[in-house]
Amino acid sequence: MAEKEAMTLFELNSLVRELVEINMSETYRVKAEISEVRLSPKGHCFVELIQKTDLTVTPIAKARAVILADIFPLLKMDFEETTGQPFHAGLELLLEVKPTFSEIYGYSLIITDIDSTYTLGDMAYRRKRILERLEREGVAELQKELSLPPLLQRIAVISSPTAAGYGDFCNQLDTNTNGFHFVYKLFPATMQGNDTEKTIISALDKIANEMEHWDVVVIIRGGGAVSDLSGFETYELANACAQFPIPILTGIGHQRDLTILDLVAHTYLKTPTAVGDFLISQMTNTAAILETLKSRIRLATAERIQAEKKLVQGISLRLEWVFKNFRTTKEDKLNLIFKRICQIVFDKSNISGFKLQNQQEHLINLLHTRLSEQKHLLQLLEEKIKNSDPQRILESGYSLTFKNGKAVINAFDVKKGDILETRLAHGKITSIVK
Amino acid sequence: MKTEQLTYADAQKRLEEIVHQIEENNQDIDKLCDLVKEAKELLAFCKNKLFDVENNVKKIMEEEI
Repeated sequence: MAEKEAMTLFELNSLVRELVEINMSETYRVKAEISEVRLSPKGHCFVELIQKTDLTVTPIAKARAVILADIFPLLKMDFEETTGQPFHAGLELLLEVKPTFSEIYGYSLIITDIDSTYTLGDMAYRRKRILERLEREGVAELQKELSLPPLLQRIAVISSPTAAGYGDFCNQLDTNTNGFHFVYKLFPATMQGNDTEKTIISALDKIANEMEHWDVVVIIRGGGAVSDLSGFETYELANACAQFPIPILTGIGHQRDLTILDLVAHTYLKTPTAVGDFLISQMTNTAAILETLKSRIRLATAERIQAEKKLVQGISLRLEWVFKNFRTTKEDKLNLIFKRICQIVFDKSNISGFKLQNQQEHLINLLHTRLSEQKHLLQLLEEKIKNSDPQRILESGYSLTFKNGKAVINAFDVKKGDILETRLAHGKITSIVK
Repeated sequence: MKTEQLTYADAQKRLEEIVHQIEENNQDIDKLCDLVKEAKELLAFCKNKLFDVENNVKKIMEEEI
């Protein structure tokens, strides 16, 4: 080693500082992860930046950096508004930095700006990778496949006992105006920071041990101040939730993107109040379904009875008609028979009557005829008699001659000497035959 | 259906079946009475589950403590 004039450390550091100042006077955009954040009493924010690879846990680069007090509040506010996350260790940042070198403190970077949208993108990228892994393993949709029971009544709550969100949630369930009854139990967990993953998984284990008591798991935390939600973004927690056998509802109360936990949960809701509303609305739906079923049973039963009545009425009418018809038919038949009998009787009597009348008439006619005949005969006879009256004959000039009281009708019956009596119409003559 | 082991979901399912059966109009009138009676019991069971705070709390507390 050649002999060189020795420098003081200050001189050397000054040289380095000058080199840095001359050669690196501009600002640089650099991607790095924050491994540590510390606020100084003067308001400066000291951070430690690292770079890791996928293969190793140990950083391959490291640098101290500072955000000076004059711009830190502004940058912090902008970052938290954009990302919905507090400025905390573990974040992947895109920074604008100016390298500096101090004789006393050595190499450090002055952060002049933070590209918040990069962090947002990085978070999304990380989340995407976790989701892809869960999908590859076939568990990402497991919660979604669980069906919510109609009665979401027994609620296992994972939250921080001190969180305002939890108190509000309980109060909301207790005072629901519909009068639904909820039973809930708190399974405490840390809801921000590094312990989030571990304590939530532990609470899930406890619930799993008595899962028959619970209808649903609710993971809630109060909103308000921006807090570290990185604990909700881990593969282990997402995996435990995704595979949990009871439906999980989340209400983590963040304003930005969904966390992985939200994505794998059965139902994601923004806030604890929204979870409470959801539970109450589910119960309202269930009660409405019950009411509908009740009404449908009433209606269907009434309709059924009505239909049955109609059926019976129909049958009754038909029966009535059939009987009536039967009776009418029988009556008609009877009437017919009766009529026929009557007819026969009538006919018979008619015939007899007719005959009788005929006979009577005939008889009368006959009598008349006979009488007429007899009359006529009598008349004739009378005429005859009249005509044959000897007086009448005598009147017409004829005379009757008697011999011994007998009429002489033959001259030969008379002999000489006989005394004859001749009767004239008026008087008689006695004579002797000569 | 015995109500001791009955869950709300089972009760609701059975109620839906009953409604369906009655609405289908293929039940004889004798069975209709039984169905309506069963439905009434199930409705009471469901309502109790939805609203009966005291009994439910007691039941759960006995299990829990």
